[in-house]
Amino acid sequence: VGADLGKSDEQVGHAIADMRAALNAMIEATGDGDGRGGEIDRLVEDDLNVSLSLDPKKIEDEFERLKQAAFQIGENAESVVMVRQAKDRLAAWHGGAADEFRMQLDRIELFVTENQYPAVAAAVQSLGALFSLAYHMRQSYYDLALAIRSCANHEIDQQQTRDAKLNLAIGKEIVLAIMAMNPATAVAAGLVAFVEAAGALGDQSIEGTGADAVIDAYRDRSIGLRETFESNLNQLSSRLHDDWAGQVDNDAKLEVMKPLKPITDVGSPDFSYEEFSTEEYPPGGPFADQVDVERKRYAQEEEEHDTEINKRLEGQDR
Amino acid sequence: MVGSSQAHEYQLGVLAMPDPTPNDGFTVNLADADAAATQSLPAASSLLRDPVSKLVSLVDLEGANVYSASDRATNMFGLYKEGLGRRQREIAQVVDETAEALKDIVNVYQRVDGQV
Repeated sequence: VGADLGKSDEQVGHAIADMRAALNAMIEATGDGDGRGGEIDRLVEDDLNVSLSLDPKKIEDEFERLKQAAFQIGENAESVVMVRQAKDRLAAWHGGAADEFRMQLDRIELFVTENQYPAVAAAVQSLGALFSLAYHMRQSYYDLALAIRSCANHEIDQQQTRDAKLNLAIGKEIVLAIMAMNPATAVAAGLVAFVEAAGALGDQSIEGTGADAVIDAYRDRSIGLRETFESNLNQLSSRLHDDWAGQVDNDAKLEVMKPLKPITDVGSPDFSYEEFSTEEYPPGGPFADQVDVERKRYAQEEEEHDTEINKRLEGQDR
Repeated sequence: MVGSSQAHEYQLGVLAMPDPTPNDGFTVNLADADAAATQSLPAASSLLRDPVSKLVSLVDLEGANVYSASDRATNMFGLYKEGLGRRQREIAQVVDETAEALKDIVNVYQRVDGQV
């Protein structure tokens, strides 16, 4: 069962269209607020653009995909278990190259668990924030449209109910609240937790009477909502940009991404049996001498093999 | 069916086995290094590549309408996620290179093992 995706495109679209019709009818019926039709049109267009700019279903799908990726990368992921197993299998080997292999495997594990996993968890968290924004945008604009419509209808006919009290996300720091969550909690959480992380929404009341007062109230709330969501979205963009830039910067410094030391390369003159040895054959013995002869032969064979492959790739053997 | 005298000979045979040579211990350690290079690390690399497709998949989170702040946030998310996919691929490549270097050493030692 998927998350509650909030108000649909149709629900929001109809609520805003009905509000607009009610506002225009109010202007016509009362003769008040004349000349403000263009202003209402612009506000309505903004409301529709902001409220329907994100698709909660698409965000939910991406959220599930990314959560799966996070579970494949975490501390207890099978890949990490396999890296640890490789390290255990090298336990009997001594020397600089053996140490370098073990250290490299430690670095790989650390990279996965300490760099990549938190970065993926932060992406999950960002999607949670985006979902929360999408949900609250829809809900707030929908609720505002219903309240304003009831106020407009009340101006036309005082017998009609005036539902002037509502809760809106104006001024809410949704992104900050979500980014303050523990990333591990975020990965384990369902989308509802991100919607709830926004906390209680502010009480709003549409005050005043007369068509102008209703239009003013609408304008102020519409602008308030737009500024709130713009600020939240910009915070999220900045956070993602800064994290991304930080990672690029950090990757360049990571030892794990640099080539292995030449002592681990059997074809390098820096390699010798001493760098990768076991107790059975001490360094400096006949085995070590034989390794030195054989590794040179092996390196030459590899070089010839590579040359042959290159020739074939270049089509020179035809 | 094995007769009792044959069984006795067999037991004697086991008891009469010579002490392990240095070569036996070396072969075991070399087999472990080989398994690290040809089993553990390739498995790790393959598992690390598994989530890559989820990370590099195109991001489309946009709704029916367009709003520039939402656009920027979703584009930034796409860039961020693409970076994660690239790093995931790179670390799998690092594992491959580590396995390859180790396997080269094992290959040389396997040739020499038993010749000394």
